[in-house]
Amino acid sequence: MTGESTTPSIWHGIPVSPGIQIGKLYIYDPAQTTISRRFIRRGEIEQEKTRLADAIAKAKESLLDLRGKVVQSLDEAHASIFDPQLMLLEDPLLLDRTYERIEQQQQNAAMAFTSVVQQFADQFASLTTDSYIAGRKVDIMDLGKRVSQLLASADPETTNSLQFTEDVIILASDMSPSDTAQMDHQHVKGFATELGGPTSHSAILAKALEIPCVVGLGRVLQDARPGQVAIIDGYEGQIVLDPDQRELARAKSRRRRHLAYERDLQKLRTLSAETVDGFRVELAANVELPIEIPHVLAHGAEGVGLFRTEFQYLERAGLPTEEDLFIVYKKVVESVAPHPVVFRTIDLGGDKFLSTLQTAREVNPFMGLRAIRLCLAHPGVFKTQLRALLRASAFGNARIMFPMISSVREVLQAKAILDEIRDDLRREGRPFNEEIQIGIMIEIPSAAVCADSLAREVDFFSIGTNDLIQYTLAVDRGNEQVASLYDPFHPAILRLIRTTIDAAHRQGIWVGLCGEIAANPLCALLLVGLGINELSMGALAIPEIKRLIRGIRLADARRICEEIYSLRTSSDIHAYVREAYRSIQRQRRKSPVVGTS
Amino acid sequence: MTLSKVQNTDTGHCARVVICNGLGLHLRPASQLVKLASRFETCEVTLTKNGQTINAKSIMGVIMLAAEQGSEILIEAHGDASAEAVAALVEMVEGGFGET
Repeated sequence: MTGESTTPSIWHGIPVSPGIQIGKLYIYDPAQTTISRRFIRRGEIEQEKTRLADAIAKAKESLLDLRGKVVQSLDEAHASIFDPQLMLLEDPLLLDRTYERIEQQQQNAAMAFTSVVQQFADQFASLTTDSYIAGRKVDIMDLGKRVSQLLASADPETTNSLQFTEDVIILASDMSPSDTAQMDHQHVKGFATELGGPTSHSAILAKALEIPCVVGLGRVLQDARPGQVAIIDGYEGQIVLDPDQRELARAKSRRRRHLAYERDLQKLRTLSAETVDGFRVELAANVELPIEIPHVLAHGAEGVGLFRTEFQYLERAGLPTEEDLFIVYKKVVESVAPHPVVFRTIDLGGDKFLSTLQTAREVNPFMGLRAIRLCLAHPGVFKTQLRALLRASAFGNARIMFPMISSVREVLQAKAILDEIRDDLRREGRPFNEEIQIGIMIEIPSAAVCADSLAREVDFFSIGTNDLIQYTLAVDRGNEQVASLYDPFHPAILRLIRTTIDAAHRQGIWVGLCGEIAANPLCALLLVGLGINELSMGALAIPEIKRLIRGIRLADARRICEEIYSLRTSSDIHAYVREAYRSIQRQRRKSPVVGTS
Repeated sequence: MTLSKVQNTDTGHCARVVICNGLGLHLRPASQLVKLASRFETCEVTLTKNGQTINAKSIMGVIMLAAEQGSEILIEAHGDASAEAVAALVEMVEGGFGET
């Protein structure tokens, strides 16, 4: 191994399927795979036709096998990614012409198939002047090419490069279902791709095959060599090329820890997040895509504390219809029931904007027309979403939350629109939950300061600390020069949080928190002390925070909170809380990890 | 409602529909359509647009129609259950393939 002499290079991407594996890199580049093209003798025609038929049968079998695995691990909708590929393998038009070509041009099966696909693609491009449609020529070519590779690999005469004798980690620019179908899964220990997001094919397939997968790695291929040793970490979302002994040892111990952790997780999953002296905090998850739900429930989430609804608006050509949204929301509500799902209404603008709404270019989008402001300016879009949400509320425990509230006036306006929709639905005889809870995000300093007035108008608050910190401290944390000033332990932040929680409790409503700090053990300790009722975070953090809460006393957490308000700097606060947390941890080690109640 | 659109022909049934989903017959709706047409195993189904006729059970064929939003398509079927085949396809196309 040459690991000792080279420096490890670490690449970060998006973790989409968990696990840690070590293996040699196999660089998969469909553009480089050549399809064997040759002419055959007249006497070989029948044999070549049989070979094509066999290859098709074999390719279909492996696609169907993978499709079945995806149905099992996810659902039918995700499995449909295989359908176009399967259909090409059964396409009467395509196959007739391919057989014809084998016969008349005496081309071998792979060459005949590829040529026919090329013919179709050319013909297609000439059919239309519409550039969008013409662009789809690329889709057909890509599909045809990938299916012809699958065919070639299914052909017993081809020496197949995708059969492995040792464990490999596949690295590619991107991968399609038919690419995966060619691979010998026994030795494939991970997928890493330069492109793609949480819903890409590679992600779906890796989850189905239960192997680690990291996508969106950027230009890693320029740095990678075939056969290079690599670590793929599907928890952290990174790959390490040329790991040294230290990295390898670390990966192995991390893998052991994760396995132990997963066993623990099972034990913790059904327990509630309750302090030793009986104060209960609801631990919920932040979710963006419906497919994440089984995963968050498996981590012991008692509901979804923040369902981001922007995704349904971003990955499409036009605006989604009420029915589109209703189907998604209903599915989410049903799969989480009886636990609650807090749907945050559209939070677009700022960093993401909706091209269809033609929002004006803004110099300072974070202080511009975004979230509730955008919705109140485009009531049609807002109403469509609210109708879909109310209708979905008939199927489980849905809650609605308005983001970016800065004043009571906005809450009243949003509620008035909601009342109109309630009236409409009643008139139409459509069922919805009349008792549905309506809440707001507290993420603008003015809302925290006026929390007492706002509390009279809603059923709950959720403190959005990511923005609250940015707006309060006037720090853009994307700006490296000031990012270090972004500080959750700043006394101003802690005071605003306390003001908000106290105001909510005086009005008798519950208050949650859905920023990143919910997953930080030190912050969680303080929040429990302040009396937070719900913490919503990335699912992976839930077991750790649950363990923390189960190991402390509310009385101790309260005492820590009282102390910090006399401290004047964030470094003093941080140091004090860290020390308090350590002493709690020391005590906890003396008692069993799980069953402290 | 869809059945009223279905007309008799010499050998089976037909109907005219307009593609209403935003992106036209791209890969996903095309494969939904092929899947549905293929369910009628003993019935021949064709689609015609601007004089070009293709087999509705061929994904390549359907994509080749390059049917964008607003284009008119003639669905024809002959064989077993041809009326049901046409009605089912009309419903799928007019429902915008569930995407609109």
